[in-house]
Amino acid sequence: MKKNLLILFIYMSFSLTINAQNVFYGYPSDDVKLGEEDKIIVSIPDHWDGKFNNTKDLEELLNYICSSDLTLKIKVIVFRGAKDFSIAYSEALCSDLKKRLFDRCCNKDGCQIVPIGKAEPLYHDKSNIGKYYKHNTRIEIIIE
Amino acid sequence: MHCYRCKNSASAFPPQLPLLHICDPAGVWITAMCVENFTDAFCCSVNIFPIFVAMKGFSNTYFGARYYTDNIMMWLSVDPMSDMRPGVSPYSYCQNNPIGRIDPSGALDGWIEDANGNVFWDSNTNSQSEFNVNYANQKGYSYVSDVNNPNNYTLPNGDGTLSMIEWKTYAFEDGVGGPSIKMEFFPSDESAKTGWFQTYKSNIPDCNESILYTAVPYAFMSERLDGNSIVGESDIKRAAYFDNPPSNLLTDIPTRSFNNGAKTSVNWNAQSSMIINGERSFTIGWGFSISSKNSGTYFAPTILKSPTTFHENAIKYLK
Repeated sequence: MKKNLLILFIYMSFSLTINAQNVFYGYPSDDVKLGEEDKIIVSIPDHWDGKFNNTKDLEELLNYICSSDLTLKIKVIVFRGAKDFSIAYSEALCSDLKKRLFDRCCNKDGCQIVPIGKAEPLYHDKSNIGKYYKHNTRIEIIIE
Repeated sequence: MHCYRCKNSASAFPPQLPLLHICDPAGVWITAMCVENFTDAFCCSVNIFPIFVAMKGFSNTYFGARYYTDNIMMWLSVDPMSDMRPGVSPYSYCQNNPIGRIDPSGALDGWIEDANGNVFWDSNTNSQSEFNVNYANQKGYSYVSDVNNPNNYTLPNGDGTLSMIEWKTYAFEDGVGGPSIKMEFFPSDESAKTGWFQTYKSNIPDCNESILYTAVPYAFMSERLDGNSIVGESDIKRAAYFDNPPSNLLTDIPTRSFNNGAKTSVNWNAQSSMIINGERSFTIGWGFSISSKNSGTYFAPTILKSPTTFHENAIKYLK
């Protein structure tokens, strides 16, 4: 019995170690070596009715994606009204982001842009609905 | 766990995570359960372990043309007419709006002309036979969609064909909502210079998070939606409008939020004009209003007989 528990403990420790994932809130500096499954979370740059505005934040996002040599999965998560509307809105932002990325680095490979809509919340307190929407609406860049 | 200086500060925000660790610019760890004002120039990292989710068994229901999976609330196969709706998931039903739409025959939506000559989009009338039922008591109405494609309406003056690719209306939840629209114009003369131009009026200028619950005096805005979403006020001569290559495809998904504090209804009304060779145009009116936290009204796209003077004046500038 003790032996089984020991094996289970070693297995769990090993699993947790190899599956460890770093989550960055904001873009990490260039000297940071990103690994598989690492995640960068940023706010969605300013947008207007389903399209991005030309802002410094958008420039940063485009530059980061275009300059990365890694295979990236970009999740656009939108909390805004009903679930199906949030999905439609994140689809609209994804399509604008794809267009802008194509304009910026049309030969960019290994970049998958996924509309998520109103799912995968990080902030669960619904008592302040404005804050609930604001904090959960985000872009996640995942290293694949 | 790791701690690094960030390159930027503006785009970072703190979620309410139990394992959140942040560091100050000097690299000293600060453990926080919830940080409200996160503005400094550093970023954080946290280890998150994989979570395994037990999968439930699925049960399917057969509806004659397709199987429906109850657990994930989706069809297992594509809609047989999905080619006609490139902007809609082929796995969806009634364009994901089963409350506002019906789909008795599995066909598409259509254009209707009323007794006064106004042509409008009806999401619930999919064919001539449905029109005969739905408009049985409406004198002077006619079904004017193209015979072979209910999405299309061929303009009587011969300028071309207007195709409604998508008009989706969503439920209003938490006072937030809006429609999504995709329209494309196919000019008869392929060498014609054409492009969409849009204006809207609203008492809520935008629905970005920073002004989610802010109302302003009734505002008028103009947009060039076929480029990079140039938004201005009442100055049609702005150079920015002309920097964008015109496109015949108009897409928009306006969002507005009911103002809980002011208790004011939200009104949003657009006029979208297709400009042809800088000489003439036709205009589609559409919009929505939100009257309370969970209710509102949508105004289906209608080809307007009399667009605003602003649109008529804009024609000559938009080539």
